[in-house]
Amino acid sequence: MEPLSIFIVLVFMAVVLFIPGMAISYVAIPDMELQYRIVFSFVLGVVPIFVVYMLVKDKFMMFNSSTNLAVLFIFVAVVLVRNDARNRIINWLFVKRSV
Amino acid sequence: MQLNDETKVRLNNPLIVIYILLSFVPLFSSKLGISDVNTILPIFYCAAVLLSAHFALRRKELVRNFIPILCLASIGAFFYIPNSPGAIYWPTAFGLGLLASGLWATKLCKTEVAFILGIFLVSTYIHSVPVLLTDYIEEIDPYYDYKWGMMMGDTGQIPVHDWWTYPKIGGLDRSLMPFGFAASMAYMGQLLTVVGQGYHQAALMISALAAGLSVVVIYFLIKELLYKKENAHLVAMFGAFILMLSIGWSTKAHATDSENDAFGGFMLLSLFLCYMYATNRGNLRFSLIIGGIIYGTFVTIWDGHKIFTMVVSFAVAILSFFGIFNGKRTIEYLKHYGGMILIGNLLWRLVIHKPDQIFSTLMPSGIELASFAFIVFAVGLNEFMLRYKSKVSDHQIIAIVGAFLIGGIIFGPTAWYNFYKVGFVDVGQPSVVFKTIAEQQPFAASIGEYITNLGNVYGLASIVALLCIPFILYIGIKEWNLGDVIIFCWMVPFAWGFYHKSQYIFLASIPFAIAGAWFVRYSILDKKDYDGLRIMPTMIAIFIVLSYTPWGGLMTKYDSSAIFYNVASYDRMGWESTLQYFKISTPANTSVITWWDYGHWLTAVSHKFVLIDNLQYDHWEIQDVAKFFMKATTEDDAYKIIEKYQGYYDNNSAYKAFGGVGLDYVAIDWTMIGKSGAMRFIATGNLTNQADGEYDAYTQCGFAPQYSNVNGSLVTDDKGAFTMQKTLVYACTYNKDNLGAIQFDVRSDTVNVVAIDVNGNRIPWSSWMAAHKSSIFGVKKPEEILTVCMQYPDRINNIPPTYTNFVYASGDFRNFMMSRLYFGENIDSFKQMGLADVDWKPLKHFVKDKSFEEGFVETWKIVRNPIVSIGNITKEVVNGTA
Repeated sequence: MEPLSIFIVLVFMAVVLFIPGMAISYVAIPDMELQYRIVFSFVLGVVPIFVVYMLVKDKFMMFNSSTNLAVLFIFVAVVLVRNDARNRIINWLFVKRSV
Repeated sequence: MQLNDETKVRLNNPLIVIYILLSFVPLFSSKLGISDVNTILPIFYCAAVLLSAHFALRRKELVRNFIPILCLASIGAFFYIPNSPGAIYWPTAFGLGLLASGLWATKLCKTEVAFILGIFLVSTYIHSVPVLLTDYIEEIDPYYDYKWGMMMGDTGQIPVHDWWTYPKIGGLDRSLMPFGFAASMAYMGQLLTVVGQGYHQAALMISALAAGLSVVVIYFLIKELLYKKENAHLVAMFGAFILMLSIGWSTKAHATDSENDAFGGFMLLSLFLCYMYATNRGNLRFSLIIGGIIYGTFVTIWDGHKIFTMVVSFAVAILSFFGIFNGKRTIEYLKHYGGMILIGNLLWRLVIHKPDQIFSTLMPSGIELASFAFIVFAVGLNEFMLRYKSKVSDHQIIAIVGAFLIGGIIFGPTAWYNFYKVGFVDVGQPSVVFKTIAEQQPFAASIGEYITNLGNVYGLASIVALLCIPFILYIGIKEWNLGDVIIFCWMVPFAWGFYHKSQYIFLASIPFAIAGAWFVRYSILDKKDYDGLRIMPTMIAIFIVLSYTPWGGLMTKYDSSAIFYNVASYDRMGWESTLQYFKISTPANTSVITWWDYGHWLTAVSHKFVLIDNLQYDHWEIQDVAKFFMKATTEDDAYKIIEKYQGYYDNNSAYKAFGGVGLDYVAIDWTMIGKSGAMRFIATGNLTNQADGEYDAYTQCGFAPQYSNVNGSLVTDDKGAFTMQKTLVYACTYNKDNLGAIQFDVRSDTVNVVAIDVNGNRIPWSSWMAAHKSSIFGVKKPEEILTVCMQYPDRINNIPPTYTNFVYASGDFRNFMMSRLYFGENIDSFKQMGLADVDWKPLKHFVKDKSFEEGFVETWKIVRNPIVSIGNITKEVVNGTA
């Protein structure tokens, strides 16, 4: 490959990983230190590859995945984020009850 | 825009101009129009060194400017020694180092920013060099991911079945195999069309990008492993530097390697970083969301998540045990670990599942399960023992121990077996097929050899890493630092594993780099330490850093220039014309029988079917192919194997979708002679009880100019007359018959052949041939081989091996199909010269098709109906009539 082509390909791929990764990190963890946000952005940038690829190319798998993701989202939202729901479940699991 | 006074003072520095301008000159040195770059530029850079030193001295900043001035000097030096290995690439690498260190030295950048910028640029560059040398994807295994990425791009579907190999078992189910890396390449490839590039370029470059990003991640990882410890940033810088210049790491992390290892390595480092970041800050939200996402994504890309699960589980278990005595709890570590793995396991199932499944129910690997069970048990035990000191209630402890017990009962036996078998102890493979694979073999035969050779692939830091192992554990427990114990638990299995299995050369490079850097935490902290013991690790660290630079080649055996030459070998290039022939000139439903090494090439480049490929998935099919080449001594026996496999294609309705697949070609290349030992071993091995096969092979006898006399000398013949005689000696590889060499005494009218055994005894070839039931073969005619060797004795390494080698075969090796096919075309010439004693009938089912690269690869067309000869006419028998 020509050096200029190498440079273009490297920069392009880095940007393709970095920008969506940065967006995800901002949405997920708004208060992260900047240097760590930059580092994690490159690895988080892989995630949209699956979403976009399946959306464009493999709709059947996308349908399955989005269904699963919705279920997972509800699970996470209810169990982990809402304290009252989480506490209810933990209480149900762990607190001793009188017979 | 107004600059403040401080900035104005900072910018008023001539060194800025020198450093920045001269850092880019190596990039464009060939475009400068300088007639003698190797003289002018060294002088120019030498002047720049003096000028920079002058300015630095006047500004009283000579020490701070030491690194950029050293970079300037190195650029000049490597322009001056162009014949040194890698010399033409090092000036650019030093130029990028000059840019970053110059920004730091002139106070335009903070230390950390300058270091990260420099190491990212240099690492990306040096691991991109292979693509400057060739556009071929390297070697054989990387074509696996290349194939799937290309198919995804072309078809727009995630492949769920591999129909292109292993017809006996109807191909391979891929629906539950990680496809993430191939999808990433396909995705990148499609996006790159925007800038005039494509899939092939993405595949060529993705590992180089991973190499650049990985050194940045390992820097932050080491800082987190030594969180709030003194000199952590120095250790991190040292470790990143070591990894960047690690030859072991570069075996996968370089441009032209499109295998998923380098990108997987980058994700593995990110996963560890994520865990340590969350644990150090007690940020459960981070480990659940970011950690879960990275873990889930990682599983879809590479198998390395098992390393994370295993290493962290052992580290936490060790701390849990000692915590009982120290009164330290470890449940926090488990919380982040468990959160990442559980969320990650939910996420990867979203994308890896069978098409007819809503959610993948695939069982996690044994190592993952065992690790999880182990850490739960260890932390549960820790909690249980400390319960009177802690606020954890009984029912929580019971829940933890209960979870462990349930996990242990359900998954225990298999999981622990895998953990024991694969992870730590039995790293060697007992299979007949795997015994023939080089990367499955031990790296060294003894501990002494291991330590001696270790430095050649990982550098001096690897020896330091081995020495530091007990100290890392001791300090980790004493200072109660999870990071240290993780380094220990990462290092030990891979130091052990690499000793037993060369395949771990890439994986082990990461822990060796981290553990090798660990001692730097005891380097000097301030000026008062110059007179203390801390000066010793400081000096060792400086020496080791220098040993990894190209200057290190002058001091040690470690030559980091090897990083540049991880490129496709002659084998791959020699096959290119063959692969293009199969791609363009044969029908889409063609299948080729050849050795497994070329399976990925034929499927990825030629888009043709093969019987076996580099996955070595079905050992029975591999054995059948080995038998075809290296066990069947008659054509009829060999053809039965062809018929059997054609039957697999014909009897499986799935292949009808491809228009029916025809096993129509045989392909043999020169390297299969060297691989004949492995093929024979597999062909005669017992796959049921994995008993070894026969150890025997073809013998290559290569032209040895140093023992030959190609100019000739006068000798007396039988009649006492003078005659000119040229002597050509062909030195033989090891063989059971103890044949050391073959000597040809060539006179104007005769060729006398002598066998020389390993003791130096000279036996007339006819006597040797009769005594050992042997023959000499060649891909070219013997007179062609002798003529070429006589004419070009000084250029022997640039001549195709078919013109410089004879092949010695004894016993059944004379009559295997490999011999009949590859050496059959010129066998009459060998028989006429008295070199071969075989009685081969013309082949009925195999017709010579093409010869590529002077016989490096040759192909045969398989004819269903036998060929018969009637007089001078050769015809195919159809329905009983010719």
